[in-house]
Amino acid sequence: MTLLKNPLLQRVLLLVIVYAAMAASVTNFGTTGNAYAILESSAMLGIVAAGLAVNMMAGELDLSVGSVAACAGLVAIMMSGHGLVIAIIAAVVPAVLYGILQGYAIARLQISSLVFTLGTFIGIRGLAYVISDERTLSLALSDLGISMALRERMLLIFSPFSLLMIGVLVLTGLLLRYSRPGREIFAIGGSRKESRAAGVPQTRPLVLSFATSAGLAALAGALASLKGGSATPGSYETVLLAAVTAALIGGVSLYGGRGSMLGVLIGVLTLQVLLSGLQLLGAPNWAANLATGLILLAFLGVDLVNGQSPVADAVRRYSLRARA
Amino acid sequence: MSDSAMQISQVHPPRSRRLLKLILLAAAVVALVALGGWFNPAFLTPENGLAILRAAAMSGIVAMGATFITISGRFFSLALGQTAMFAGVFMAVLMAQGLPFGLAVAVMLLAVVAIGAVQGAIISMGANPIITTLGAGALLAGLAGLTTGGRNIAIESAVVEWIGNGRILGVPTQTWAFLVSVAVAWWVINKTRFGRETILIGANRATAGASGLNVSRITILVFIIASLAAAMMGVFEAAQFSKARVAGFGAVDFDVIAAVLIGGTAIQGGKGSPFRAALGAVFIATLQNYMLLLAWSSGVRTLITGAFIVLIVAGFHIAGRRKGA
Repeated sequence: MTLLKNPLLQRVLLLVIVYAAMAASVTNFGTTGNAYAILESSAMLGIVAAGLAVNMMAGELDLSVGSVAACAGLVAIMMSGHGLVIAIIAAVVPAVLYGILQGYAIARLQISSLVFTLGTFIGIRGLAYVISDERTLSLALSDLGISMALRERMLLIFSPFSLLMIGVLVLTGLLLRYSRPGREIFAIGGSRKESRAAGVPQTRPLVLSFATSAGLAALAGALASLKGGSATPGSYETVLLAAVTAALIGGVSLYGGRGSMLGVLIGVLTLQVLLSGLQLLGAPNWAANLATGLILLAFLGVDLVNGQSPVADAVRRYSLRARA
Repeated sequence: MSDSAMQISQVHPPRSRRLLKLILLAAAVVALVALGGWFNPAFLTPENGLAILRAAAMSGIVAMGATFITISGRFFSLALGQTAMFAGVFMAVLMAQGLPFGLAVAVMLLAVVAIGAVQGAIISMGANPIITTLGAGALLAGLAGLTTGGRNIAIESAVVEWIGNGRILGVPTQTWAFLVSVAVAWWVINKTRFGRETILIGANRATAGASGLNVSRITILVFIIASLAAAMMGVFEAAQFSKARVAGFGAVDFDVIAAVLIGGTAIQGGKGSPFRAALGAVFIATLQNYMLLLAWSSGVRTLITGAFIVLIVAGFHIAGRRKGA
């Protein structure tokens, strides 16, 4: 019974239940072909969620990830003639620089990241419209090989794109847990004041977390657009919502200092299994909105009780009193 | 001076400084209009003036409600555009079912009050307001899809037609509604106990709670007010074309946030004025209209709006810290 109290195990259980429910109600849901499709559609969300989760662990939130992903997608398509690697570098490097600047500004101004990134969320979206001249950009026919290479099925259910997503999650997870900058991010997210008193630098981890969220959002946007073969300036508007939802399902707290990349992976898969299932059941496209919104609000409630919120404090006080 | 005492004292800045801010903002609007007229004669026609006022009225009405959220220290709502969409769609569906206009509006307003109350309740428990409203917005967009099956709903009613396109003394109904909501918001913030309480919980939530204010009740009321303002805009929007649309409210939240911030409402709460937010809405609408007449693309307009928000937020933040130091 104590095993069931492990939060990570609870989340795996939730994923298994959602998967089983979908497999029971949709024919051919449990096939390897469908598993490949689900992983393939989780890949972009997973990479964005990894960056955003780093941000949330630092106790901040970068609202501009969707806009950054759209810009990066456009740049990647524009540069696709120079090959996959150049296209991705051209998309990701400016985003990382932007993330560093944004993180530095937020750290030095000591301003709420919600408010600051709200402005960049709007502005960068405008930039996407400007650099694309409000048109949809497509891969040249001669470059379609890039798209095919990214989605090529391998190892039964994987593709290069979904393997990369898992690689990104593993790498950021390891860096967060075992590197000094990673521990600093956890420390400032867990408690700003105490971490400062203990001598943890405040600017460096913040800059790092915003560089990560912007860089990974750009990587995800570039890869997804290259895979899809086209990029529109209005795309990826819902990825912020989905990524926050996935991170919350995975146990990353909006109050900072909590969460793991394994949890994020489980969260991403749970959300994607549910959304793919709904789609295969023939639900119209507003159903995804409805479901994501409901799940987000539900897990906000879970986070309220588990995180460092006033409600959680009240619950803890109450349970201590009950035990005494 | 202790931190809380300082913040409480800032609730009442000297009258002269408040007046100065107002004059500065009004001067900015006048300068923009003059500049616009100079470069483009089409800008200064009475018809274009009314068009600007109508556009300003739409986001301005919502901005009146959103000011309450910001003053109370809960930043912004990202669900107001979707609330407006849901309100218009829900009213249209009820009327398509044969309900008379008054009853349809009453039922819709009840639903909107519930929507605002639920968000306010979640946020008053300590949830992140931006994420809560982001989720609520997605939920409302889904609900609007659910009630209509994703189709636009036509409204056949003379009353609605008049609300959307009627004019009183030659001025569009929207503009009248805007003026009335500015007056009401100003009165509530400055002259009522609830308004004072809203400012106080924004200035210092912990102190306000400790001195016996019911922070949860005020937060819930604030979100109800904002949702009702959004619903009002939704009704006007649907009435203008006698059709409730299930898309096209994406930019509402941005314009509203820009209007509130340009009006100098402090983002950390505790300060702000509906009157200046209204001027902010006029400023944004003028700017948008001017850029539209210059045939600038929507991308450039969005880029400039975003840059404006970053600059203003950072600028006020730095100015506020200087004063505090």
